[in-house]
Order: sequence, then C-alpha cells, then structure tokens
Amino acid sequence: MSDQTTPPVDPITGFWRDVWARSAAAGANTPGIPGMPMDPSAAAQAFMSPEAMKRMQAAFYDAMAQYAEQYMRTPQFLESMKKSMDQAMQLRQQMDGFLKSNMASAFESATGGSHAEILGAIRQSTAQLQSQIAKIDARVSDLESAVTGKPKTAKPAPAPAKKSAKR
Amino acid sequence: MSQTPPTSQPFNPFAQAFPWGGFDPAAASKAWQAEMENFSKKLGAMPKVLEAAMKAKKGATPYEVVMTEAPVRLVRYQGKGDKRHATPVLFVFAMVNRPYVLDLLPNKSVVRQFLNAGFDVYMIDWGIPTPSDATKTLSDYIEGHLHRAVERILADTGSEQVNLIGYCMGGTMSAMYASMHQELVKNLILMAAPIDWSSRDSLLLNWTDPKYFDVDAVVDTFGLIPPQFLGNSFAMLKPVANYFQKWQGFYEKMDDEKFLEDFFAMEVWSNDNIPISGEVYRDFVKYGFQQNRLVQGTFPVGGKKINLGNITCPVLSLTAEADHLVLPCQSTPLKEHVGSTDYTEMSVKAGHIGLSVGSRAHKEIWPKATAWMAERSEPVETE
Repeated sequence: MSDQTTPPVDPITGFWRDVWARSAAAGANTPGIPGMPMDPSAAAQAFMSPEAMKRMQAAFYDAMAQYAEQYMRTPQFLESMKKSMDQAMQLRQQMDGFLKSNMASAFESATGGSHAEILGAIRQSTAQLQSQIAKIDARVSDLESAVTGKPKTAKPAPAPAKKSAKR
Repeated sequence: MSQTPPTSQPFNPFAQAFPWGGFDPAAASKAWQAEMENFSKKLGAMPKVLEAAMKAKKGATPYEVVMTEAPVRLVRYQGKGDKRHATPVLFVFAMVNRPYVLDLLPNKSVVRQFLNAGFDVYMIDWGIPTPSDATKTLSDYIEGHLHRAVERILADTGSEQVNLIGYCMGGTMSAMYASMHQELVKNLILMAAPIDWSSRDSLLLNWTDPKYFDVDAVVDTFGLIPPQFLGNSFAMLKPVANYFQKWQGFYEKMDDEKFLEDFFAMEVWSNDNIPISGEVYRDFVKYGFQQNRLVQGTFPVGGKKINLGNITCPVLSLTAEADHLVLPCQSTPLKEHVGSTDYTEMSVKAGHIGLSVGSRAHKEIWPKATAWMAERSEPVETE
C-alpha cells in the first residue's frame, strides 16, 4: 500500500536525502531521526562545535558505506561486474592471440603461453614418473617382503597429478 | 571570546558562516584564516611525509633463509632471548599478499610476540609466483612446499613436531595440512581462517556466485591471477574506508611522525600485492567459496579429500569481530568439525589485518595466544 503523505522519490534523490539527513542529525547531536523537532538553541550550540563536523563526517561516510555495500550486492552490480570481467578476458584472449600469431613468429621467440605449455608438460611427466617409481618401489617392497619375511616398508603410490585444464 | 576552532580540530565552515543566528562575516573570516594556517602546517609536514615514505621497510625482525624452492623460501627469525620451548613455530600466511604483515613493525609484530615468549620461529614465504607457477595446485603447495618446509624444520631443530600458525587462507591451508599430517603438528593456531563458506553475509561470497563469476574461464584465460585484480577486489569490499576515509585521516594526522611510520608501513604492505597460481585460485573459489566442500569433508587436495576430523591436536581459533574479509562465522564452525578435545576460541575487536597489526590485538590477544601455546609446549631440555 502506498504512503499517501510522502510522495515517492527516485533512488538517487532518496539516497542523497538520506545521507544528508543522517549527517545533519549527527551534527546536531540528535538521536538521528530526521525531521524531528529540536530545541533551536541546543541545536545551534551543538552545530557550532568542531566535534559536530567530525560526527557529521562519520555519519556521512557510514551512510555512504552502507549504501555502497547494499549496491554491491544487487543483481545490477553483479551483472556489470560480470560484463567487465568478460571484457577483460576477451581483451586478454585477443592480445594473447595477436602475440602468438604475429609477434612470436615475427621474432621467432617463445611466448608466455609456450612456457606454460612446456612447464605443464614437464610437471605432468614428472608426476607420472614419480607415480611409476612409487609403483616399482611397492613391487620391490613386496618382493623383499616375500623373500625375507619382513613386513613391507614402501609407501603407497601417490595419487596422479591432475591436469591443469578445465574441470 | 573568539569562535575560531582550534587548528587541531576538524574545521566546520558551515557552523562558522551560517550559525543559527545568521551569517557572521567576522567569524567566517577567522575560521577560514585558522583553516589556512592549518593547511600551511600540513604543507610544512611534507618533507617528513616523504622521509617516512622512503624509510618504510618490509619487516622488522632479522632472519636467515634456511630453505629455498624458488619462489618459495623458508625463513628463521633471529630472536634475542633464550629459547624456552622445544617445539618450533611455523607461520603460514595467505598466498595473496606478502607475509611480512606478521612482522610489520617492532611494536606490531606477531613474530616478535612468539620470539619473546621463547619460541623458535619460522615462516614460509610463498614468494612471487612466475608464469611457470600458474599450474601449481594446492597439493603442490601443501603436500609439496609446506611439507618439505616442515621436514626441514624438524631436521634443523631435532623436534618431532611443529606448532603451526596459519593466517587467513594460510590458516585454511594449515588446517588442511594438519588433517593430512596430524602426527607432525603439536598445536594449531588459526587466525581468521575461512573454513565454512555457507554464510552469504560476506560480499566476496556474493561476488564469486557461480551465476556471475566463471572461475574456470578466468583461470584458463589468465593463468596467474593478476595482483591488481586481487588487490582491487579486496579494496572494493570497503570502498568508502579505503578510497576516502583513509586519506582524510592521513591529511588530519600527517604532521604526526609516529602516525606516518605506521601509515606507510601499512601502505607499503597493502600495495605489495602478488599474483596467485590460477589452479590454487580455482580450487579455493570452486571448492571453497562456491561449493563449501571443506566442512563437508569433500574438499579435494591432490587426490585426497580433506577430513577436518583428523585434526586431534589442541586448536586455537582467533577471530576479529570487525573482519569484513573473513567473517567470524566463517571460522568458528571449525569447532564442530575437528576431532580435537582441546579447542579454544579467542576474539578481538579489530578488523582482518588489525588481528596482526592492531594495538588492541597486541595488547589483548597475543599475550594470551602465546601463553596458550606455551602451556601446551614442552620446555627445552637443559643439559
């Protein structure tokens, strides 16, 4: 049901009205209810003090921070964040593509992507080798155990390394 | 009697120019004059500001590097007092910033709190990752670098266990490590460590909602997650405080040398952002922020699933009441998931970083935390 006494205001106007109202209330050292009547002489005295400015600033910043936090949770903000991120990724992909196709071949040099691919391959090979060695170790341990009758000493084979591609 | 406010107080031109009784030109003129004098004083402080900015250092306590696995380093701090506890302490910081915030200034150093309490103190510095580290996984860091650092400390000190202290993401990693190697961890202290991501109160949790944030696309595109991306994200959690209030506070106190020392030490650290391995970022965002798997016992690390119930050593969970990055409600559920019977919680009225550099934290919580660990540590054997 709409409020008949207070006309609706647009969000921007409502935001600024609320922020300034809170600041003014803090400056006058009132409990912070905008529009409430107050003793003029007491209000003037409070408003005159330098501390009042400090309180007004604090109230202003608090109100701004509160609105900022509320806004950063809205679907509108999250959508705009997603769009910015998509654009940043697109730009990066275009730059990578340009560097790979033109610059690297022109200068016959490796790119960052090439390095990452090589290092990824080395890492993968290392993990596979470690896994194989661990299996051989386990088999040797089994044989030793069978021959000597002593309990096994080898550690279990480590889990294979995961690939760095999409999961 | 003059109505001019003292120069050390904030200036209120409205109050002087438009008092309730009407505009007073003389009072307004005096007020502006006072403000100009104040401004001149601030300008005069500029050489000291520049000097303080140049003098800002990264870390306060001397250390030696005892192990290097580029870019990761293990450092051992050099304390002045005698060692009174046999089990060494290992600090594990997050991978998104540099760890020297734990040793920012001589009077704001968590490292020194433990050195002064008689502990042998080590810290693992994850270093600055290069593109070759982009594919390193959480397992590479926890089961690799961290585990080898623990082995090195045990070999150096002759101890059979370490006391682990993890901060923020480093706390989560420490909990993971303790769950996998409980036999090597004597006591575990977690500082503002995210464990449970089920609450939607945190802004970061809203921003990483899979509907709006495709972590796979981000990691596959960037490889290493750029430091600017992380730094700006953290700053945007408190935009008014970080972009306005901080600088207003700086202007008001820029003629105070002690303030300048603290301010620039903090500024140097907070702007010293580093990239993070894409695979680590993917794991944290996907399995932590988006799927909340750690408390479900299904967070995968190197083919294993983390079971916090494996942690049976004494645990101290430290939280900051005004933490906007890791809300206390993200840390405290740890109590319900660990297997420890000796579990303690302590909280301080501070923010996320205030937990390590805040005056209140150093006065109220760190003496208690070091005492907590001392009570649960064996004394050094005397010959």
